[in-house]
Amino acid sequence: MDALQKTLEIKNLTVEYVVDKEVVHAVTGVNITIPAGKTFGLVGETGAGKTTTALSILNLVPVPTARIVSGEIFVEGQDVFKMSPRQLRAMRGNKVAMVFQDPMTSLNPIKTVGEQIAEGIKIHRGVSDKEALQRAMNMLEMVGIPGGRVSAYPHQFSGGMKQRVVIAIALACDPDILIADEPTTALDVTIQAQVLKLINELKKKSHMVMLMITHDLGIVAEVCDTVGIMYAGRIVECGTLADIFDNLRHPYTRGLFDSLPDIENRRAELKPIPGLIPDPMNLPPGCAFHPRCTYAKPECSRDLPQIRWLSDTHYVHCHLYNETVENMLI
Amino acid sequence: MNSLGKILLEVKNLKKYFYVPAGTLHAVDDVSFTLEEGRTLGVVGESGCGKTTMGRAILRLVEPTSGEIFFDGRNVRKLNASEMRYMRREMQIIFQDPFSSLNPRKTIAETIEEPILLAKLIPDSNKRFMRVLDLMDIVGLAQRLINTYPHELDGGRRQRIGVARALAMNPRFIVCDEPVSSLDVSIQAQILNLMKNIQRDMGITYIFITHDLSVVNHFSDDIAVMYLGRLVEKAPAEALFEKPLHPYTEALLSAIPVPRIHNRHERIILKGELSSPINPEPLCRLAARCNKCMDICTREEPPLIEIRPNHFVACHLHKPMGS
Repeated sequence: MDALQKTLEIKNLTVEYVVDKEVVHAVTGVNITIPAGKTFGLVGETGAGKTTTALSILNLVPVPTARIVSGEIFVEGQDVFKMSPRQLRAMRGNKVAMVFQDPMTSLNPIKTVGEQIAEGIKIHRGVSDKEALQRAMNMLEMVGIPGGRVSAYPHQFSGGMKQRVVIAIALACDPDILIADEPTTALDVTIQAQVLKLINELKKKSHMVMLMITHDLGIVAEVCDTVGIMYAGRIVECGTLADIFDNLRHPYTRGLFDSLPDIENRRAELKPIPGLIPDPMNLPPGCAFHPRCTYAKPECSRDLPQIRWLSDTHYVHCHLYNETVENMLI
Repeated sequence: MNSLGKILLEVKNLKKYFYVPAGTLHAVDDVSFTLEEGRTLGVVGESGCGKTTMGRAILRLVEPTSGEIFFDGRNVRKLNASEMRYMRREMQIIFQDPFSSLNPRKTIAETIEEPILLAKLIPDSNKRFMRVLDLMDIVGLAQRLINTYPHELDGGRRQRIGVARALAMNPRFIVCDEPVSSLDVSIQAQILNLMKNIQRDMGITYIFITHDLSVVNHFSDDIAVMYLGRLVEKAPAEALFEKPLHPYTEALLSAIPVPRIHNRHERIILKGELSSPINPEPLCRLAARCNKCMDICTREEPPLIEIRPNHFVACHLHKPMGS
C-alpha cells in the first residue's frame, strides 16, 4: 500500500487554453509515472507545456481560460480532477507541494519568512502558533539558514536564501510529492550548486516523488532518474538518464544537446535547431517538429507519429522508428 | 590565436563607485586589462559582481569614478560630448533583454535606421533603406518582417534586431551584455553562431559579458573573472578552464551543471553568499567563503599579478613570475 501511496501518475493529460476564441494546445496526451523516491525531469523550451503539466497536478490551471480536455492524474491513487474543493485544499501544500520558479515574486513581502513557512503547518497539521513557528525554525535550519532568522522579511534575504525559504515552505508539511518548477533558474551558479546539493540530500532522506521542471540538461544529469523531453505540448522522448544521455533517438533531443556549448571542446561548432518553436495556436500537421527536423520524411507532415517503445524504459514519438529500432539514424 | 595583435582597448585602474545611503558601493574596483583587436574577452561573474557596470563604464554610458580607458590609443575619458558621440560609432553595445531594450512603438526598420539617422551616416533615404535591408540580411531577419513591431517577434528575432542596430554604425568594438541569457538554448545557439560569423567577417572586437560559463568558454579567446567589483583572474580561455588558479574561478567552474552522466567531477561548494560591495574592507573579498583562506587573506587585499605569460590572478596563494 505504501508503494502505491507515494506515486504520481499522469495519464493521457490534454490541456487547452482558449484565448480570443482560438485554442492553444498547451499539453497533449502526456503520460508520466513516477514511483516513490524517484525524480522525473521534464525538459523543454519556453512554451513546451512544462508548467501547465505541473499546475495540472495541483488542479491549479486557470479555469476557465484553461480547459482539461482529457486525462487523469492520480495522487495516492486518487484522481485530482475528481476531488472536491475541500479535498484539493487538503492536498495542496500537504501531500503535494510546489517550488515555484521565481523566489523574488513567490514570497509575500509583508510577512516574515517564519509566518510564511508556519502558515501551511498550521493549516494542515492543526498545531498551535508556537509549535508551528518552532517547526518553521527547524525547516529554516534544514535548508541552511540560521533558525533565528524566522522573524526576518524576504527583502532581508538574498536570492539564494529566498529560494531556500521557498523550498522550506514546500517541505514544511513533509510532502510525498514535490514539484519543482525551474527551482534554480533565477540563481547564480555557485548558489545553484548549493541548492541542488540540498535537493539531492532531501531526496535521499525523505524518499519523496519529485517532478523537476527545467530547461537545463546539466541539472537533469545531476538530480533526475528519468527524463521526458517535451516539445509543443507532447513528450517526444522519454527514458532513463542512460537512455537519453547515451542513447537518444529523437531529432529534437539531438538538437537540444547539439545546441549546448561543449565545456570540454570549446572549438566545437554549435549546431542550433533551425527555425523557431511553432505557434501553439497553429501547430503544424503531423509531427509538430517536422518543419525544423533535418530527418523529416513525407509522412511526418501528414501523420502524427505513434509511440514507439524502444525498450522497457525508453519511448519515442517519431516516424523514423516506424519500421526499425536497430537502425540508428540519429 | 597568437597574442601579437594590435591593442585596441586598454583599461587602466577603472573604478566606478556609487554613493548610496549605507556608504560607498564599489561596483567596479580598480580593474585593468588590455584587449587586442579582433579578439573576444569574456567577462564572467555572478550577479552584482560589477560586470555590467564595467561594460557600461568602458563606453562611458555610466561615467567612471576614476581610471583611464584608451580606445585605439585615444583616451576616451578626455573626449568632450561631441567627440564622444563620434567615438560611439566605433564602440557599440548589445543589451541583455531584447524585451525591454527595443522601443515598442517603432518598427524593425525604424529601430535599425535610427542610429544611422542620428549619426547622419547616410543622408540619402533610399540608400539608408538599402542599408537597413542589408543589415537585416546580415543578422538573418527576413525582409517581410521590416514593418513588424517588437511585440510581434520572439526573443531570438528581437535579439537579432539588437545585433543589427549595434552593427549599423560599422563599429570596431561591441560590448555584448548577456546577449543570449534570456533565450532558449536552440535560439541561443543561433545567436551565438551569428555573432561569431559577424566577428569573422568584420573583424569586430567583443567584450562578452555573461554568467554562463559554458557559453563564455565557447565564445571567448580570453576570460576575465570578476568577484565583488574586482578582477580576480584573467587568462586565455584554454588556460583558465584547464588550470584555474583562483579558488573562486575553481569553484565557479566546478559548479557548472554538465549535461552528461559519466565522468562527473566533484563539486567545490563555496560557503555562504556574496558579501556586501558597500564599504568593503581592505582584504581579499572571497576570504569569508574561501576554503583555502590563509591568515594574510584577512589582512591584505591581493593585487592582480601575472603568474604565467598572459595569466593574471589576484590571490595570495600565487607568487608572481620569476619570484
